Order: sequence, then C-alpha cells, then structure tokens
Amino acid sequence: MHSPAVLIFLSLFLFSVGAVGVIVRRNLIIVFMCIELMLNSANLMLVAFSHFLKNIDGMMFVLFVLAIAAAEAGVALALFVVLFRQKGNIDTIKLNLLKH
Amino acid sequence: MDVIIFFMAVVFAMGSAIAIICVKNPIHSALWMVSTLFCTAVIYLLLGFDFLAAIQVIVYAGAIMMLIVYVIMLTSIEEEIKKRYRLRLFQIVGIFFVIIFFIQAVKYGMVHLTGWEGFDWKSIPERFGSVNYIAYKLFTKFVLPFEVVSILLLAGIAGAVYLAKKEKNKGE
Repeated sequence: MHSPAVLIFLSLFLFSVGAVGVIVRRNLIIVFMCIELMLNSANLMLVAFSHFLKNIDGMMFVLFVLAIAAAEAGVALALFVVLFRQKGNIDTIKLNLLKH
Repeated sequence: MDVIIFFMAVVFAMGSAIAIICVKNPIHSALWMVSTLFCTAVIYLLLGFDFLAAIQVIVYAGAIMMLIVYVIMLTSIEEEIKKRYRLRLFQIVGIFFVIIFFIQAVKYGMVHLTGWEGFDWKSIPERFGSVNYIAYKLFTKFVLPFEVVSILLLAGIAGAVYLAKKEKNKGE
C-alpha cells in the first residue's frame, strides 16, 4: 500500500490538469474553475500530510483555504457578470484592452 | 473494501478532472467539477476527516459550483459550443512546460517518500478529524486567522454586491 505516493500523484495530477486548463481554455468561467481545481489539489496535499504526520494544522489551513475560495468565487463571478454586461463576451483572447 | 473505494475515488477524480478541460459545454464542465469535488470528499472521508468532507460537499460542490452554474447561465454559451479553436503557440509551449513540471514534481515527490512505504494507514487516532478537536484548535491556536477570514468574507460580500449592482446615475 503506497497511499502517500498515490495521494501525492493525484494532487500533482489535478494541479497539472488545472494549469493546462488555465492555459488552454478561453472561457473565463472555465479558467476560474480550473483555478479552483488547483486550489483543491493543494487542499488534498495538505490533508494528506496532515493525516500522515498526525498533525491537525494542515487541515485547519484547508478550512481557511475553503473560506477564501468562497470569497474569491463571489467577487470573481461578480466581475465576470459586469465584464459580460459591458463587453458582450468573456473570451480571454478577445479581452485585450491593455494591448492597444 | 476501503482500498477499492480509495482507488476508485482516485481514478474517478483524475478522469473527471480531464473531462473538465475537454468538454465543450461549460455547464458539463461544471458538473464534471462537482464530480471531482465529490471524489476528493470521499478521499477526505477515507483519511478520517469527516467534518472536512461534509464542508467540502456543502461549500464547494453545493455553494460555489451552484454560483458558477448561475453565472454560466447568465453569460452566453451557445457560441462557445459551436466554435472550434486552434491552439496557439504560447498554449502549446505552456502545455509542454506543465508536462515537464508534472514529471519533475512526481519524481521529486517520490524521491522524498522513501521512508513512507511501510506506513500503516489503519493506525488513525480515534477522533482525529472530529468536530470537537477542530473547534478546540479553531478557537485556541487559530483564532486570529479565523477572525481575519471572517472579515475577508465580509469584504467579499460587500465587493460582490457593489460590483454586480447596476450603475444608474453614473453613466459609463
């Protein structure tokens, strides 16, 4: 049973998939979801080592990360709604106002 | 039995994570994300963190993903489904470097795990992730981060309300 190895592999895999999604996808909401996925993989690693080291502190950090993710989701989704109302799309390639 | 459920959760989490970035419809993407979060909650449960698993399902899979689905419905998804995009150069280079990162990180993680192979993961202390212990820690050692996070949540609510309300008198 190589449980820590499996958990580390899963966490790194989820993080890499999230990073690829941030790079590849052009819809801002899906990019945001991939960022949530990366946060989730960090949570998984924290919980895994909290379990294996018999120390609750890692799990407490996961609780705080959850709260911050909730606050972030509220503000980011409000921003997306405002952006869609003003520009008509939320495509990451088309939103290049700072370029011109 | 636990081992079978554990590996099923791991495999499902990986599969649905890939499905998030591969399906075209954003709503389907969000539902695959819910599936990943549930698999992660199952893993938390098997590691003995029952409270955290409940919080994961309620806050992440319930509240945040619900909010995301609402906003996807507020924005237009028809053109997103129809269009096909070609990968640009920077995206291909980015994928390449993410893959390199993954390989190197797995190698590094496995190298530093040599002492862990014989770990007996049945030897979980009795009520380690229980609500009692979490509450005790939360109000003694972690009381300052707890208060800071509560203020941050309040600021988040205020910011979201201010951003999303319609501006009437200020013409922009």
